[in-house]
Amino acid sequence: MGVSMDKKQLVHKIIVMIFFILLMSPFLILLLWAFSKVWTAGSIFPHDWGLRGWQYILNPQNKILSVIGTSIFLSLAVTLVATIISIPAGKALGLYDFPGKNIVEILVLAPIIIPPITIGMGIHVIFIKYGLVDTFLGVLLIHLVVVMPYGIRIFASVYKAMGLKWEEQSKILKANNWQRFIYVTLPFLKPGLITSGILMFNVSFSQYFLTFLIGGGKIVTLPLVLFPYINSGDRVIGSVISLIFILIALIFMFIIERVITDPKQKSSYYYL
Amino acid sequence: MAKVILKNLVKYYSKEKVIKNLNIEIEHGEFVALVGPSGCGKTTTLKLLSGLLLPDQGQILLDKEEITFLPAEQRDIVMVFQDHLLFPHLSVAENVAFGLKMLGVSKKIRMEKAKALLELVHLPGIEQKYPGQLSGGQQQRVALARALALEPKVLLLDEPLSNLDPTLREEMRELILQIHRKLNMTTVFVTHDQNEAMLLADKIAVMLEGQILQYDTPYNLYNHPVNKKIASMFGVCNYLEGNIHNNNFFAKGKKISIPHFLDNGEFVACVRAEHIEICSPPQKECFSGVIEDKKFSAGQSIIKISTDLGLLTAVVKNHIDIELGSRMYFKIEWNRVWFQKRGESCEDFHHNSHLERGQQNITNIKNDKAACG
Amino acid sequence: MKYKPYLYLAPALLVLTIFFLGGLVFALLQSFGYFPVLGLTQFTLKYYLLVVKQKEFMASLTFTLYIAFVSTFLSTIIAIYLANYMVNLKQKNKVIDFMYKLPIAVPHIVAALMIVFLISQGGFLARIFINLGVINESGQFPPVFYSRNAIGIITIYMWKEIPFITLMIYTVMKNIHGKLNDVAATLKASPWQVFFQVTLPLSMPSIISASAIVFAFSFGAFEIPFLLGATYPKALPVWAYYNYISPDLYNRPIAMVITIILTSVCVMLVGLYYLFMKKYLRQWG
Repeated sequence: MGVSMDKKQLVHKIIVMIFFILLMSPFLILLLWAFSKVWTAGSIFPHDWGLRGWQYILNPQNKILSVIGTSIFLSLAVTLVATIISIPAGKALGLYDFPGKNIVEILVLAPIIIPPITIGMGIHVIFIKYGLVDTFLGVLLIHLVVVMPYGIRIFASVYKAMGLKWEEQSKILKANNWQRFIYVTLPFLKPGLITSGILMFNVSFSQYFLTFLIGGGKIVTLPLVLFPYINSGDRVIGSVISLIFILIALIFMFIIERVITDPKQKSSYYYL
Repeated sequence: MAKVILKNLVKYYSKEKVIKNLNIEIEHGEFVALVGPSGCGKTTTLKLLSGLLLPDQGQILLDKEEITFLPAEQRDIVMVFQDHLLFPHLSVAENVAFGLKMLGVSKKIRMEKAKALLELVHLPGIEQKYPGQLSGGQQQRVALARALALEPKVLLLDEPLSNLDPTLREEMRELILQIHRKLNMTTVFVTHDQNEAMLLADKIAVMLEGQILQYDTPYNLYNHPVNKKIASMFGVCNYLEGNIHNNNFFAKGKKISIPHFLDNGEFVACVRAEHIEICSPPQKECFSGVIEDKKFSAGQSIIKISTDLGLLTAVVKNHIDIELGSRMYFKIEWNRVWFQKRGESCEDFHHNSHLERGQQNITNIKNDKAACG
Repeated sequence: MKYKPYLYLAPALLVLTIFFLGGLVFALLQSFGYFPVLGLTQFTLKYYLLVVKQKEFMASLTFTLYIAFVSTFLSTIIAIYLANYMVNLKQKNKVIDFMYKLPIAVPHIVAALMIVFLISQGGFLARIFINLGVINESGQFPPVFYSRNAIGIITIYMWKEIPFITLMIYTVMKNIHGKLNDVAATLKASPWQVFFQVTLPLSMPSIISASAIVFAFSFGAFEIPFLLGATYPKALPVWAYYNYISPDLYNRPIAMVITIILTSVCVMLVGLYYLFMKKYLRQWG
């Protein structure tokens, strides 16, 4: 019996290992491409290594750097605005019962379910009418719609787990509205801030269709630049842009966790 | 000085009336316990007092000044919750000093005060620890220190002992009492444990369904309860049904002469378990009964005796060895028994309205008369 | 006190109402032929009939459903297997933990690019096959992109979605397992029985919720079928887009009809999911 158990476990282990090799292999190919110089069709490995792709990216003439800048700035702005709007909305949904709550909950869930293409094509006319098309503001607003539901849902669950008791306790201890928010609520929201910040930044950062439609080619972000490389074009450059794309997402994740997490805290008390 | 008056308080939750015309007066320095089953409105009363909830009717006065609608953060009343609710992201000292920080007290004074208060609650030297590193009893004591830091006129305690294990509970109880005596602070304490209330409080308000049934000293609640409900809350009671005729109580064919004058009629005699004594050797007026059950505990045994009067519960001293199934003799201290007139309201123990009406139907028996044999 | 929640919600509701509901309503109006810019102000079902009658409609709908269903189904099964494997590990494997989360941070477009480099006819796999002598030239490698079997698109979605579903269900399964595994084991359940009798049914709500989100996403996604899909049939979002950008503005209502149908299917699915959840959760009181 012991032997058969071990055998079974070994089979599972091998299956999982193969799975992870498959899951990670695209990254390896990407790395190979990003640092290759010549890689002719038909050969398994590059003939020569080089930094051609990186040189192309760093050359200001190709405007990739400014695109990266725009992308980061846009997604940061979207994340910031969405966070500010989502916190009170999450509080309302997490802590209060009020007439119409069901409808609001559906409205908050809907943008996650309903395809962006529907919303984008529907609202396009209005954006044109009010001059929001081809503007940074227009893209920011449409990104907000896609990103906010995640934030609201996360903050609602944090507030729900937190309950009213902490606010009551701080009220008893003479804290006024702002003091309550800064000294008590905010520390409790930290894990929610991390999760929602990463999620919202990522969703905005990888958004293609809405940026393309509303930005009209004037607001150029990384996904727009990368788009043509998927089925044609220089694979080396495409790989480098992809790599930068992934790196920025990971760095943002790392920074936000560092900035928000307080190393002094020893106990893990959060709702998680 | 801090005298608190709650006048005709009414509070609704959505449409349900959870506090129905509540009146209490608390003198300066008094320790008052609110006792009652869960859902009776104790905690709501405390929250009304603290300002976390606002009443729909009525007034709250603190030293003759009306504070009914004053926001919680502006009242000189501080509350300690059932869960300690220490802020997990702040150190113990920062927790204790939190209220002072909110009031803009300078850091130096804050920290000095936190240190002094932690000493007061017997927790010196833990300023830099975090709440997550403390035991349950320590957390609750820090919560108490945090409340005291604001030097409130009134201290409210919402079941601060209920999450502690028995030994810690006793320690904490002593600490609360000690601090109360030291600071002479008006204190309101909520509990569902009547023993705890009796041990701690100067006065106890017994609450049920949003109303106060009796507001009195522990002595009076035990000796002069206004109805059966309260009698049973503060001790074990046996109820004997019978008739009174010419100052004799007739029950189950027995005739007992009672030491006080009562009208003729149908009565229930309420006999406390501790007022049944074992007679050895047996005397003339003793009943006999068979021991059906016994529970031995430190200090006293609780026994059930099957007698002609029915099954009775008695609390007896431990120095007599009682054997199950043996027949023993006992007597009732009739001068400490009180009688309640039987009416529809008393018959039905679970009938809601019997409590209000019970007050008129009850006849207390003063026990200052001569004891009978 | 009463108005407080509304005040808190006001900014969010403002944005969602104007830009989200607004977009939805305008799409709906245009699908019914209300398009004042073109002088069309009559409500009509003409465009719906026009779309439904086209041969491409059924083909397109089936194709889109096929991609969404196959990728979601396979992703869910594999994610459950993976999550269960991780739950049963004696201690948390940090390498696995890091690796499986990595694709979540990768945008779909980047994922598409990487998978293309891997399994397209000019990709890494084809090169290995050529060098092994299995095939002579890259053209002999089975086409997975621009093809009606959509294997390439499904692979891209699976690469992104397996980690996502795993993340969503792992914590839930871990909690259930931690609480009930020992109990079930003392009641003589084998590890497989514990999984099928206890862990799986109890984590069903989160499994269904995760796969519903994934289904809705892959059903409505535009970029990848646009870049890598077959010319015929097109996925619904792609078909809608081509109608939308057509120089003939009278094709706009048709585009809207397609997106409205797309949306309705998504909404219906989520509605079903809610009903199912309600029933499922009610069983347990």
